[in-house]
Amino acid sequence: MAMRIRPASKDGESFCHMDPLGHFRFESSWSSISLFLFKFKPTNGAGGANPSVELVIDHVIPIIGEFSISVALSKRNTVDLRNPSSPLTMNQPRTELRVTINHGHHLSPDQNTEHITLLANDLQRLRSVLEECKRLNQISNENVGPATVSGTHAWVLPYLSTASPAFSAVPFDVRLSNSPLHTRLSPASAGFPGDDLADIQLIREEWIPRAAKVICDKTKTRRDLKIRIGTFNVNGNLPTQDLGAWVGGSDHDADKMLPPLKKLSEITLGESDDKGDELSGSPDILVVGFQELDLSTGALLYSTEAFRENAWTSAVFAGLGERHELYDKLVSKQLVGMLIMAFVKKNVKECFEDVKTTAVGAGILGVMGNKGATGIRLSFRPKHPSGAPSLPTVLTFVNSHLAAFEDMVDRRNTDFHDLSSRMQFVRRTDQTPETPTRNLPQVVVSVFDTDVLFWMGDLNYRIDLPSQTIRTLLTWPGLEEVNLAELRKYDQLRNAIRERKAFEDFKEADLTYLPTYRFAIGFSTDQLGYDVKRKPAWTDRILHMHSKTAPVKQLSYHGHPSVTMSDHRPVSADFVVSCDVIELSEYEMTTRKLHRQVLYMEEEEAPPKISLEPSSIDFGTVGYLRSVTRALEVRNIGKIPCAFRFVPLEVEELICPPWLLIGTVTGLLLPDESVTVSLTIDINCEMAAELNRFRPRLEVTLILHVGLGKDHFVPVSAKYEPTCFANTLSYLTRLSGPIRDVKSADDLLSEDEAKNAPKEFMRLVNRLMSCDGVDASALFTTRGDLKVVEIIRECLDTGKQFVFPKEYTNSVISVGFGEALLRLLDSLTEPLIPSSLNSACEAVTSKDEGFEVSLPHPSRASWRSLAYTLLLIRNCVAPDSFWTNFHMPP
Amino acid sequence: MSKQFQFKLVLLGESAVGKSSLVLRFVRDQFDDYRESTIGAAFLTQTVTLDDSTTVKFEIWDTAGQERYKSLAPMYYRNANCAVVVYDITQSTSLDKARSWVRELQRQADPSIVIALCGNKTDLNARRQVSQEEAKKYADEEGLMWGETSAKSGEGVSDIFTAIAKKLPLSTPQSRPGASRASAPGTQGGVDLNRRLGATEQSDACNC
Repeated sequence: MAMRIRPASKDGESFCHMDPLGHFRFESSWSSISLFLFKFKPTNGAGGANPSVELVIDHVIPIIGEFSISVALSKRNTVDLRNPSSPLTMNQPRTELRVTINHGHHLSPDQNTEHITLLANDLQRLRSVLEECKRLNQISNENVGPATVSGTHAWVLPYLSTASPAFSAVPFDVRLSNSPLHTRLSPASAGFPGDDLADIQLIREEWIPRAAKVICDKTKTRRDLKIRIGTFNVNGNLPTQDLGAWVGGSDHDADKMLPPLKKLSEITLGESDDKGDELSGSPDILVVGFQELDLSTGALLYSTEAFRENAWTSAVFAGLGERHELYDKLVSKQLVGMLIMAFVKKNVKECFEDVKTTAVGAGILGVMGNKGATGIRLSFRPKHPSGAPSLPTVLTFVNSHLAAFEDMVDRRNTDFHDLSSRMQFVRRTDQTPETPTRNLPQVVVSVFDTDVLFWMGDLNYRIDLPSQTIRTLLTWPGLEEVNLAELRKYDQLRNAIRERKAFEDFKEADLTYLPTYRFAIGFSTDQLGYDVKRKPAWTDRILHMHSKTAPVKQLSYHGHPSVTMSDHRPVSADFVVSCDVIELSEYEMTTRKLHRQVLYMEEEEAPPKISLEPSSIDFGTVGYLRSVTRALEVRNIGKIPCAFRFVPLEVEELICPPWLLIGTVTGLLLPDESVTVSLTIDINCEMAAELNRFRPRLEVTLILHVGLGKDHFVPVSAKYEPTCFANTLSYLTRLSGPIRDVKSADDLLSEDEAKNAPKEFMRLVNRLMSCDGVDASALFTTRGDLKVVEIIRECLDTGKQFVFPKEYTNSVISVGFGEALLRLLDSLTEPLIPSSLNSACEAVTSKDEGFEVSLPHPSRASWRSLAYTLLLIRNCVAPDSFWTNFHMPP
Repeated sequence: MSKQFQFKLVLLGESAVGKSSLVLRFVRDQFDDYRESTIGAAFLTQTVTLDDSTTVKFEIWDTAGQERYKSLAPMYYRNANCAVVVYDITQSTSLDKARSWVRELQRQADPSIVIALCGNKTDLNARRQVSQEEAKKYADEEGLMWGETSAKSGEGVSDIFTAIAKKLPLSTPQSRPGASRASAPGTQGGVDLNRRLGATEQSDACNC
């Protein structure tokens, strides 16, 4: 029973001097009182749906025992100019007060029991808070005599254990942990540091758990958790087939129809673990999601019937074959037609803790359960080798059924956002024997407050192509891989993810299986068994998202055509999650220690100081596709921790030009610590196209801003060597010599003087034409050695003779020339044949028609180059082998 | 109630004229005989009390004087309410450099910017190359404030900042557009570059 008192300092924004120390509030329970210290939670750009200011608990100080709060004048210096006789009087204190709070208890040896210091400048409010504290302290001492935190103040314990986000067992939002930190900092630029205080907080909050994990690295172990996930829209059916292929990953008895359930286990008995290699060993946890479990209208209204769930549970166990003995059903959650179930191996069952479920409807009226989602959240806590409890890895699984019909894609996107924001798991804070559960505050966490999130289900996304095109692509012989890739381009879900309309930042393995919807029986089917009235689509999907600390590797992603009992086919995926097994107590102690080291860094009197080595960076010469990296050492040479970030020259600009990559954009350094920031120049085709025109010097001054400190300048320079790649053909024909020798526009030939075809191009073609005794079929059809290509490019750029080291054979060199020609053509900023003519060219069926297709403004360079290319193809390459094996460089 | 005004001040001038030393003397009342050249822009604050009810907080950007960083200076003097252009009285070339800074400020900076020309190193009077008359005459012509200082002895340092504080328009209270550091708790977000100093009408700003 907590009673809340809010004294005069309710609107505490003006009360405290510093940002993180905003708010006082009192909470009292009978005779036990605690002082709550709040700070402002920096709102995060990403995912911060709520723009209002949020407060988070910074400190909880039980008012017991030796608790004390005192005030002193602060020693901030200012210049007083009222007295002209002393030009520099430096000791004029302003009305700034230093508040010191001493803990009255010692909870545990590693607990932060140092005093807390705050700055304030509102004397009036401070006075009322102080008086209140003294009064409450008196009451506390009078009432219970020797108070203890675990006794009289037991209710406050959960707050103590989660007082700082750094200690919290709830993982950060997985979406935030994936978005680079610097994108969430306040907008800043040279001379405009933005909101340094909020930025320092963000950098610090990200740094603490990361640094703690580095420190715990020595004692940590790794545990690979194998997870198999399945999704199946069963169209209201009860299980009538073996699910072995789907749940067990054994596809051997694919086409067998197995009528009654009872015989299943006998048939699959003795066949297990036959899918070796990466899948060796069965999954530790199997999570299956069903949709349309029950299509009867009654199910919408009263849906707790366990009959169907039991039937499918038995079918899953049967599908596991003899391995079913290894598993237990851990938890399930049903909402009308949607059911999610988790099965775990018995030997790891006790590692799964804090199991929670949730369900949210999204169908009729937005809440009925014909569409919606059900979810499971669990903490995986394998024993640390020391036997001590470990830091949990939180796994969340969502099974959803989104809006149907091809044109409802917007509705599906909305459904996703609606479901993901409304799905919540209620968890209690850490339960310890001495804390009675009934008083524990409940913590509500979202599906994104997790280390790994799996999202499966009938998401109902379709393919945006005409029905006949889809069917033709699916049945075209010999080109399955290529055609599936083509179909993938029109998959609504892929496009929604790319356009950031839904499932942002989720990952999905390539869809290499056939669409799983919609199958029919009888006359109304096409040759693959798809219903002729519905477009085939990949409606059934499994996606995932993970934080940096729990890397996920996907091992498989399959449809299971052998399970034919529904109009959908089931889909399965295998994953391995690499979980750090870190001793919980060590981690907590480390985070507390780190937290103490950096907690008040923004209030220190000493200025933050860093040094940069080297003070400027010269890359020397750089060129097309030659990646060069240099190191910049940032060292903290001050007495206090400091946060740093690179900032752009102007707020809306990029931190550095596109040709430069900065490895570490933001960070935090303790005194004497240093970090090596990698700077990389990698000129790709697009950049080369711009730089090739007389931009030999690449120069920029990077600005490294230290939180509440200096802007440091880091001049970066490089000399760019132009290349004949990534130009236009007509530009190349105007070069008077090798491109490296052309220093300015004055060195270019005029339009009239321009050559017939680029010299570089001619050199390649001539060389290829003279490749006698070389297996011409290898040209263009096998990949060339990139080292050879680089040598060729260098010779073209400098005009030197082609000379190759002895280790390259003639055929390797010839194939290299073929590759170089393809890459040169591919790098052209205007294609050899204008893209506007592509469709006209495709329609050509004979040589005569081909001549009819004319270039609108034929440039001599293009004509000549094209003619030479065609001649080369005719002369060198056997036409048959050429056209069937032709490839373009990536 | 006392009023606090906040102004952005930028220091410009040739390398090694003593900009950083001047700020160090003003903010911490310290002096180092050997200071490294500033590679970047240091940010410091100092509050001056004008009278019982008025304080002025200077947000000072001490910029690098080296020529190679000249292109970055506009980032620091844009939106500045005042600029101190420093030269070394023992180097006549540094006054030429100061003149070019003044020209640039007059062309590029906010029209209402208060510019003070400051001749530093008066402790080295024996080696003086720039006469007071010459500098004063130039300052008068251009409508600049002018003074001489010694960061080493402290002579004249506070005078020049006080004079600037008094010169600044104290009519608009509290947060001036130039104030870049968010000081109120809970204030989020960055700097609105469109909120230029709305002082083009304040004609008294830079006429000495």
